[in-house]
Amino acid sequence: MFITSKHKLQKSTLADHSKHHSRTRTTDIDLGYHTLLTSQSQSGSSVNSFNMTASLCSTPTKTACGSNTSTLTKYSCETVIAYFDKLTDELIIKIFNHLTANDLCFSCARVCRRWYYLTWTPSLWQTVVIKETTVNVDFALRSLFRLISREIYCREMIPSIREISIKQSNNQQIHQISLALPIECLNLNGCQNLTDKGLLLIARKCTELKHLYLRGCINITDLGLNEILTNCALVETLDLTAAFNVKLNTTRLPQIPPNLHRLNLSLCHYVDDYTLKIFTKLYGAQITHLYLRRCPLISDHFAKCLVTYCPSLREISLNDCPQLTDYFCYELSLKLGSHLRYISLAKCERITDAAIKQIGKYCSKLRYLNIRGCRLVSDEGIAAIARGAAARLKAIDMGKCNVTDEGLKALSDNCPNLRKISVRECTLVTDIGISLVAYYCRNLVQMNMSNCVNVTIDAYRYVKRFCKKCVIEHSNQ
Amino acid sequence: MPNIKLKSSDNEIFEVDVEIAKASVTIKTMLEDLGMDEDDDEAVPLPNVNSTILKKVIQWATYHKDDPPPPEDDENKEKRADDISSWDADFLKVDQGTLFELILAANYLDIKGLLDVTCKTVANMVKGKTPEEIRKTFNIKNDFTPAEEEQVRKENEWCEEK
Repeated sequence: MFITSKHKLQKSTLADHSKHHSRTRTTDIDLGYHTLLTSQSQSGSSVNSFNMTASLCSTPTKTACGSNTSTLTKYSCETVIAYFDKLTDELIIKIFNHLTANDLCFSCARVCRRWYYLTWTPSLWQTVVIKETTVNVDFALRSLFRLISREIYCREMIPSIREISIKQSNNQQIHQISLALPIECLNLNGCQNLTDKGLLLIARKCTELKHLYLRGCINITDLGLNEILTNCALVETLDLTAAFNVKLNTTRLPQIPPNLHRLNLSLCHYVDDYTLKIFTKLYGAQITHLYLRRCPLISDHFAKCLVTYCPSLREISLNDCPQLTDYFCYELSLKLGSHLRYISLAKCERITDAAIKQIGKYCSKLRYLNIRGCRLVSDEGIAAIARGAAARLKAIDMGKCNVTDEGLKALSDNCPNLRKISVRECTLVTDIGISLVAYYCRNLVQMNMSNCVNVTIDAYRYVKRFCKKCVIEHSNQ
Repeated sequence: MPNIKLKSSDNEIFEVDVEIAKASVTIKTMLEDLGMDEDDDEAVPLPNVNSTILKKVIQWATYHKDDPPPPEDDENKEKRADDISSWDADFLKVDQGTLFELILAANYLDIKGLLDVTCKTVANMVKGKTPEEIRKTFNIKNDFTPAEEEQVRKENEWCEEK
């Protein structure tokens, strides 16, 4: 009960002015904190065990302030309008929602009391993004977690009062608060100095965690990852792109009920068929999204495990896995085809028309296909995709494929809802093909026709004319 | 396409395609729930939006009329603010007053897309600035006591790059 005693605050104070946006329809927009300064009265000096308190309340009638009032000058800048004062708390929180932890703590929290109070709104911290920085991330997490628990604790104890205590951060009581944090999404992409110590802390504190992004965290190892897998039972998304020092040591992986939905092991060059077999056997049952870009050790042997252990698969990316052949696609489309929406096989150069035809035949829900750099794929394959996926197809990347206007005609005949298309470096494509697509696929938002030597400015004009919102990428011809 | 009339706070009447006006959930609800007929000649009063802002809002809604509906419950997991389309970015090259009026209008009219993009724009104005720069940009008074300011700085010490 370390806060309640010290404020002679009108309890009813501000009962959230901004509960619902429709409130703004009336004129009572929350005038915010500045109103308190133009109105007067100080409560008696606060009695508390802390060195310092700053209480906030935005009722125009009552106010309470810490003992040091002389420095609180009245607003004198009536001439210039402080637009933020016009916004409700809810709206400011909406704005803050787009900021990372770095911005919130470095910038927002230190602006003024109202911003300080709003910065620590617990709902803002359901998603925590620490930007790629040189800060000590382990320390950052510890500080953040402590501050977030403090706020939750304070606001739960006295929910009706809008006040906040700026306390000594080394206060004993704060240290003892040990709440599960409401953090659901933690994005630490690019935090190179995150270590297992940080992961351990996350595993201990963030039991609600659902999404964990650790792209490029090169200093974490299996040790930390195993803690996460063991303690954070709700984790659905795990992004370990380029986390080179995680080896997924198959003998040590914890046995836990599988709950992973999205797994990204791109650029983890150590990943081989055996590692993936054990991993998917343990955790694959729920996986819907699997990204294995640039894992050069993966071969066709993985196909059998994949279709057996990951029956829920919806999206798969195997870009730059050069060992894969048509066999992999056969297995994949035959067993899982009816679910697959997203397939990316860019630069799997051994893939041929036969595989693509198979995908067209079995993957009826396909929305996205990337076969950039599959030089052995031609019109025949594209036509099969166009007929199979038909109106569901939203995006297709055929860069460097052996496609001609025939392939584009098949797409324009069957896929009216195409939004993105790339024929980059398809040297056989001409204006005719491009104009067919432009005419029949009016929803295009992206068209890449760079380095198509047989495409002229006329095609560009055509796309501009029929697809108003289309961004066209081209090389000046 | 049927049109409806919208009346701004300063009593200017705008005639707008119903489908475009329905980008505003507030207007949509009014039309559906309150039984305002589409071919009713009466203008829908919007007492919280003045004509300058309403004109901008209609311009935005017209451009975005064919956009796919925004996902129901997007939690904005990425916390991105840099994904503003170039058209929107140009559209929002306005003075601070207009920008904040647009936020209030988007909120009142309940146009999620416009609210998102305006909030992102303001977020971008906050990003990377020091507290002092933010106060300057938005005319915000520093009401911390020096001791408090030091305390707040200290508790957020972690984010100062070393």
